[in-house]
Amino acid sequence: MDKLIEELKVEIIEALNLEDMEPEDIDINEPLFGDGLGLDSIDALELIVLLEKNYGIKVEDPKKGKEIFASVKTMAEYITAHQK
Amino acid sequence: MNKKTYIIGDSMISSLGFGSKENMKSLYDGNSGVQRIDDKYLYPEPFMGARLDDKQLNRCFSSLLMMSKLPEDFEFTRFEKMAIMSMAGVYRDQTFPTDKNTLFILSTTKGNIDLLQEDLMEKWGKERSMLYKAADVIAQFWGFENKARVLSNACISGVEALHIASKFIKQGVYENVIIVGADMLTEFVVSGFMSFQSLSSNVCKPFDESRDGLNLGEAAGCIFLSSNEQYLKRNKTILEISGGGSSNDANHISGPSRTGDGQFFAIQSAMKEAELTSKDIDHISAHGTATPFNDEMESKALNLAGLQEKPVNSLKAYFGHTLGAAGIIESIVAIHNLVDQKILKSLGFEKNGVPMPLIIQQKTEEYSMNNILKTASGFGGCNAAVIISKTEKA
Amino acid sequence: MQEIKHVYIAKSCLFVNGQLVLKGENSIFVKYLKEVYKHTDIKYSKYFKMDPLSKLGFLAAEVLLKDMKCSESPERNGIILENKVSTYLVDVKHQVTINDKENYFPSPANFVYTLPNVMTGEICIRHGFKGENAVFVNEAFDAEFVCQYIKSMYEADKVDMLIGGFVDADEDEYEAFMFFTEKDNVSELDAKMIEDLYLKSKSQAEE
Repeated sequence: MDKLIEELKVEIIEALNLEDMEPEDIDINEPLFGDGLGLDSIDALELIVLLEKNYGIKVEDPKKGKEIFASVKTMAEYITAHQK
Repeated sequence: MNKKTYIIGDSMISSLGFGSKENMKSLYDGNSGVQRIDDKYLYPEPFMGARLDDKQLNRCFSSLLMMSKLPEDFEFTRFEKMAIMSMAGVYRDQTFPTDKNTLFILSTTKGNIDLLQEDLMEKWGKERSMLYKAADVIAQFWGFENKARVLSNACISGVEALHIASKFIKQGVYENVIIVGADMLTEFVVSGFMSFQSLSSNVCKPFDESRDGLNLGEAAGCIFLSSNEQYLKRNKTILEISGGGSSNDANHISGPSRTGDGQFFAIQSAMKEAELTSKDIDHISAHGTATPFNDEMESKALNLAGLQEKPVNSLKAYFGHTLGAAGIIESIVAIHNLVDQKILKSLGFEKNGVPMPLIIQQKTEEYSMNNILKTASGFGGCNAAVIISKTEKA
Repeated sequence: MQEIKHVYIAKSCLFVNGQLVLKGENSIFVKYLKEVYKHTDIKYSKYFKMDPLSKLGFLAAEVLLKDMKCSESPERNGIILENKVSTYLVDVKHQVTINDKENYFPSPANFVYTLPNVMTGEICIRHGFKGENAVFVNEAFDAEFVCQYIKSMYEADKVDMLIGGFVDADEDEYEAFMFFTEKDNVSELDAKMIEDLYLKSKSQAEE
């Protein structure tokens, strides 16, 4: 799980062009949207692409994104639970 | 110096037909051009969209080549053919000038974007994929003396082109402006909107409670504007662009404003210029893409402008969203609605699903009108509005 | 007569009113832009998400608007830019993601930048401009047309402040030219003068 979390941080920074951030800047329990990393709706869609491209997980209902992308930790948990 | 911007002529090609007349008949009959498209060149999976009849396009276009000022063996792209086709419809009714007093504006978001596909790029080359080059080819077909201008301001391009053109004409900068709005349904655009998850899997439902996204479409439309009354000989009803404006939400690059103030500023600017108040506006042809946030924003903007009691429709369920063409073809429909004194039902609408009260037109019927407000909104937070009015010669 | 404030960025050089302000150590476009970003001394995390064209336009506007006073009515501030290749760099990037049917992953964060007016949108968001905004695509900067538009918007009483310019980012070249106009100085605005300001900065950058 820890390895996955570290991987995810790097992937998120790359996919969302968070150039001013380093992996250690992201708290794994911090909310990705709203106050935390300040991500927006396009970022959410980009994370959906990331899940499909890198982990083969298809999120059909974008509304579900809210729970999945609550934090890096919830994202990692979702991947672990859904990866084939 | 304040001249009038008369609407001299118009023509359009869309999924509903070739020529304004054919399109209007189809609209009054309540037809939709949106259908299931299963074509791997457009998207790996089937989707709902509105497409032009390619066979008819090629057949009709070959009969236009005799009008071309370019060498006989000059080859045109599909996009250029669409644009030229719509202009020919205007030219047949009323020859438009191409001299120094005439400006040609192309309104498009992506032009020849299909040329980025590997096989097409090999044939046509990078420069031809550029918007200025497509405009240049179209201008050369007709022999315009002035340089062609391309307005590429997302989905408001068409409405904004009418607004800017009417400022130029009113102030005497140009006597005539020929505007063409055109965009194609391409894999480039379909895949992009798919990634946004903003396409509906049904015919879209603007302003409806169950609306769940838009349909993409393709079309080309041309409007000939002039301050010169001589061109008005064939017009039984005289119309003008009486006001216009553009604005920005300054809020988000892809999400519409949550307050509607941006769209309201554009409407206010158009009404002020036309010296009209909300009481004088008889009908609103809205942007109405049928995405949840867009339609919500429009309901707020129209309420801010005091237009909540005027009948509103969206034409997106008829044509799909035709991007850079939308503002032009939807204005052409408004022009004909004013001439015919008929209002169109907002196709796809059943139950009100926007937070602020609006009267959504539910029946195509005779309706007495003098002024129609046409609005548009787009990515980049932009908004535009124009007012099309019945008028008399100056 | 006071000179119209103008900014020019190209070939790793930043000019303000014709004076060289920042000569880049990097000749690579995006790296030079990062130097300009640092020079502006702002913290704006959304900047990093922008495509190269928007970054260039955004920075030019940042430098241009420093210490300048815009109208207090947001809907009276506007911007008109010309551009040559539209969003070619981002368009190609998007096309690459759909060329291979087995590996088909169009990126929404990239696709949103495939419209040149998203650049003006970014500038409007940053500075709170809610007025007239337009992007025209043209083969080269055309001072006459841009000034025609600007004068026309003032004459129609649509704006109190309007930025004009040309911003373009292609494979091997990039260029941004932006100038500031306001109601009080528009009578002095002259296409020939703007053209001269543009050409002067351009030739200096080429030296």
